[in-house]
Amino acid sequence: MPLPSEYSSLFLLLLMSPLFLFLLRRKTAARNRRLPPGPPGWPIVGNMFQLGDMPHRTLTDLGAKHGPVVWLQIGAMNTMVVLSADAATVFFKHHDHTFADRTITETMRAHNYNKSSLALAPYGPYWRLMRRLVTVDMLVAKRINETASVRRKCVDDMITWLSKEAGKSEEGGGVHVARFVFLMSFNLFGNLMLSRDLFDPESEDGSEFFSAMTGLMEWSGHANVTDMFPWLRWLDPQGLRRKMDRDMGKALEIASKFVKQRLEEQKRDEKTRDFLDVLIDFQKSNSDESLTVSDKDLNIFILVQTTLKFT
Amino acid sequence: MIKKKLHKISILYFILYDEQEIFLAGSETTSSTIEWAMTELVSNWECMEKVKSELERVVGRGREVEESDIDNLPYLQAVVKETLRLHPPIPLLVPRRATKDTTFMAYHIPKDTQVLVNAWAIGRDPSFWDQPLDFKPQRFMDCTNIDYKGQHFGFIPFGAGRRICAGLPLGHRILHLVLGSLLHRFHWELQPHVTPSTVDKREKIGITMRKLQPLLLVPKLIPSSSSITNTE
Repeated sequence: MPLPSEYSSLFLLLLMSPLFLFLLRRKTAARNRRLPPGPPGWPIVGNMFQLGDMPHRTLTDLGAKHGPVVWLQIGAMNTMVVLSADAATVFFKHHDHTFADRTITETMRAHNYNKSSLALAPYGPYWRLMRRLVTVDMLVAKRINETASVRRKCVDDMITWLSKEAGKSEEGGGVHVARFVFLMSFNLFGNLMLSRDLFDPESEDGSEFFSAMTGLMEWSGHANVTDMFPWLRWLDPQGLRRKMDRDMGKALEIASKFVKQRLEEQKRDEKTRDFLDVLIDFQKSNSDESLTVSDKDLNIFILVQTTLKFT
Repeated sequence: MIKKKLHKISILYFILYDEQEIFLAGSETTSSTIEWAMTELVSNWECMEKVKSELERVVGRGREVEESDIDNLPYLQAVVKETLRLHPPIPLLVPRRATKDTTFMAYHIPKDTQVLVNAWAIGRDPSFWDQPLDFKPQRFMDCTNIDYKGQHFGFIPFGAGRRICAGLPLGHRILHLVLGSLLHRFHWELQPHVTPSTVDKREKIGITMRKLQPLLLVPKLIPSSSSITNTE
């Protein structure tokens, strides 16, 4: 029979080791309610370092071993992976609604990006409104047809750049195809949305916007430790959140200039309407709702306001 | 006054938040998909010949490829599909999250579980695809009704369900217009030291799944018939 001191040391250990508790809890949970199979993980980091450079390949291999649905613990995040056409069918056919939310990573929190973005917004009224605005007012077949000439023009420009480049390069020298396609696409979306070439050495705002945007892409593409360990958030060990905030602020400033210019312009021709016009009209026709929100947080205020405006 | 200010800011938020996404999603995925398509075509020369002869036949030399041609270019469509099957630009799609505790395929899934759907593995699932690792656009010619619009869960490069990519109809047009134009206006040759069988196909994960080594090709402008007339 153990001595009382042994009890107390065990008690102390339990108190001092939330990790132990965490593992214990996880084990119990797993015993009582069956989770999908998966590889064993390390304490705290879970399976985080087992995914490698090519997670899609690593996960495919895990599927061969454990079956079409695999369970992982990525840091503190419970993760389920769907790996076969059959499992995907069950997922999208019968569980689409239950899994309608998005996972939010830390860099996406810059300026509350995650709350107002269409792809990342929580599944709810705001998301539905934004989705409707995009699919009905911007990307409906008729609207897409009307802008075919814009796309053709951008592709023509790309062909011109490529011909010049082909003429320049020495015999047998290759051109980096994807770079030309990327610049073309960037301008294409700039024209569809704001009616301007955003990649243009002649326009300062355009190139500043381009570099802020490519910065945002870069930062949001980095793996961020705080996604695995939310309690490190205050520290922002890689400085990603700070960089994201900086570039987001810059982009916000330039975009506000674009909007201001547009609001000052005369009524534009129906044929040349871009996404920004759609957005402005949408707001104008829905500007009477009274706001009953008195939140100190401007971002949330804007979010709610946007929701009201888009109703 | 405050209201007016907020008004403007919310437009801004849309531009930045949603358009950054469109820029990011649109530009990166377009360029990486086109790069993979070109990579597969230069390493599968008979597919290259076939797609070019279709363009020659349907569009001809007198004009450019237009989006209205897409429906008449089934082989070009098959090439785009086969590229997206083998090289979905976002291989694990955008993660979903459980809104509540649930049961999925007899497993218990707690609330807030993140879900990764491996579109890359699904596109290569041997129980769904014949010879899944081969680049064979012909499979979509034999089975034209399989597409990526969210109805066939064995082929989901744009995702599926409520959260299917909102830009899909636009992306569909852009990919065909760009690839069609590149193939219609240029002959694409490999650099002298590369052969179709040694084209590098290693992957790299960034925002999208790109090629590890950028594809470098030698373009030779195909004169349009009007410029031939001019020189004659």
